[in-house]
Amino acid sequence: MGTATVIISSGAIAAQFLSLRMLVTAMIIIVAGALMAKWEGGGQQSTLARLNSQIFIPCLIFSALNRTPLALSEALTMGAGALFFSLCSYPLAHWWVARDPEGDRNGFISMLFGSTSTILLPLAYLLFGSQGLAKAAFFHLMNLFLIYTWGRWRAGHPTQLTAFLKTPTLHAVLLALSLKLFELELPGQLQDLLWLVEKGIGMMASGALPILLISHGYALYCLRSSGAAWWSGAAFLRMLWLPLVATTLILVLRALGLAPLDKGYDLMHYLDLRTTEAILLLAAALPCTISAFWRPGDSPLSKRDSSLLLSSALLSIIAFGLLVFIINRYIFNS
Amino acid sequence: MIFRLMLLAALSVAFLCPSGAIAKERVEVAMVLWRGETEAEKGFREKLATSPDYEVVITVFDAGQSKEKLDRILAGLDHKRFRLAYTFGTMVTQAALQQTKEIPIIFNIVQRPVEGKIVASMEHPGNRATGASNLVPMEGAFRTLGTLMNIRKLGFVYSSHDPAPRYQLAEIKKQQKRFGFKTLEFPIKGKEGIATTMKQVIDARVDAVIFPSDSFVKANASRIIGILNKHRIPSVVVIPEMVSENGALISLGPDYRTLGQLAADNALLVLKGNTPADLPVRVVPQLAISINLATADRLGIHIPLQLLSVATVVR
Repeated sequence: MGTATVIISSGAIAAQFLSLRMLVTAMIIIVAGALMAKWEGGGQQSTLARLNSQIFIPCLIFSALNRTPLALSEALTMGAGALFFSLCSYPLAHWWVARDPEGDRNGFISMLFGSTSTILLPLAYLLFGSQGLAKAAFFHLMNLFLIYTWGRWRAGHPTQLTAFLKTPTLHAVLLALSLKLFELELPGQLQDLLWLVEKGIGMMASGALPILLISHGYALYCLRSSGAAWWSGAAFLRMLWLPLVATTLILVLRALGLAPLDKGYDLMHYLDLRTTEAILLLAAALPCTISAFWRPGDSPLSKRDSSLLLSSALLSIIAFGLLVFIINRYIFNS
Repeated sequence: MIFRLMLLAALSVAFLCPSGAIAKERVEVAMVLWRGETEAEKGFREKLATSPDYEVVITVFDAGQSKEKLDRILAGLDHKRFRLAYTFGTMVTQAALQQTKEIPIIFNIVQRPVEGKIVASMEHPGNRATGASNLVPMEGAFRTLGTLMNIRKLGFVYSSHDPAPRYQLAEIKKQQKRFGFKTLEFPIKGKEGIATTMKQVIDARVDAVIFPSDSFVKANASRIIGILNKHRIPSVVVIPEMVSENGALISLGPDYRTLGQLAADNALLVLKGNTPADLPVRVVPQLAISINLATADRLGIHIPLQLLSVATVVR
């Protein structure tokens, strides 16, 4: 039975070790992605981006949303959070673009939005399971909408609302929500068939995690090889600013009574609210968005924007470590 | 003069604060158990020890999971000596009600006291038994499980000789539609039936197995859960000891020590002269979560941080 070797402890301590383990695992996969790019010359970036946006991310989001009970208010909070982050980043983005009047305005996109697809989604799942991923999915969806519309407009490109409406990610969210809403009760064999399809999607979803992280590392190598510098003061400012924005947002949500700290009788409701806060904090440590710049037809990145991206990606490693410690210490054990 | 004043003060204090002088009333309680003491009994003892009015002397009668021994214990219970009897589990409580007379019964770890015909209702028991129920809020339990794994086929393994698990099965089935799973029943017919039943469980390719609060299952948990772990099937239990002692993945149920304290609250009220018939059965609405990290690693199940932060972890 092994009772003599059993160690019983508080889960809070185990959570610190586990989160560190998850972060280290994620970093190793990112490094593997960078090495892969180095070995084969970095020519597969757009293929990886397409695989992610059209297959892996939709599967990941579908399987998380399909199985996780999610209140509309939570989804709205995540969407509003993404909007709030972008709005609060606007002065920084404006300053960044204004500093280089000769250059293009793509800097707006890099400063306004975080890399939700390649980093937030896998980390949310690794750290907070399908509950965290479901919340991160709404943050990602709003981020995507803002990139396609407001972001592109500010960067001087035509908006692509139709393209947004055609994104498989949006379709995955809508399909999962409809299945949950209508609670289809199919006859025996059809139900088994549906579960089999779901299992297949689930398998692809689990494959998405390493692929997303690999493509992040791949993109970082491509940036470095294009001559980007390791350090950018603007990235450092952004990395200081956004956690402050996230903390303010969390305090406002608590003050408004939207995220009460009282545990009450429903422990899962309490954990649900704390997970929302954790995802918002995690989103504050995101590096500048990377995938937006590898879309066909878009102008290539300037050197200073590349440096901003690379530097923010490296700084985000430190920020993730610190914020996950804060999440464990002050959010879940507050 | 000073010495006289001090003496007077000391005498005044002794006169005005006579708490030490009044002896607590000594009462005897019979503790009738099925499988030895658990955390629930620890909680019961702890709470009774804090009573300012009673010095409670507890005599333990352990049936050692033998029905014959239990019957002998109950037949020999001295009604004049014991002011009340504490009973553990549905079977012991039902037997105590049938085989004893007059003695008030404080039960604990009885999941369905109404359906088990132990009390008339949770609010007004209506007879000489009251206590604490380990009723599991199933909706909360399945929401918790949802953060851990996808369950489409859920196995329910129980002893066919015990009536209590059927009530839990009904509760689980109520959650099927909302959480989108199908429950498959696997009754075990005695010790010799374990191997056959477990083979059926494995052949059915269930995503997880849930166990009721069942003494037979607890007694054979190492063997049953060992088979499940070998075949990488997660086990969900309501008895926390099955996580630490038998390698079950997760326990979702009320905290046994808290239940013991709640049962003791009712016991103290009975000692003070209240009738059990008027004392509501106590429940703990909040789930206590225990997770076995070694089992989670073996099964390849990733435990999210938010769940870990509120859980007791076994390694």
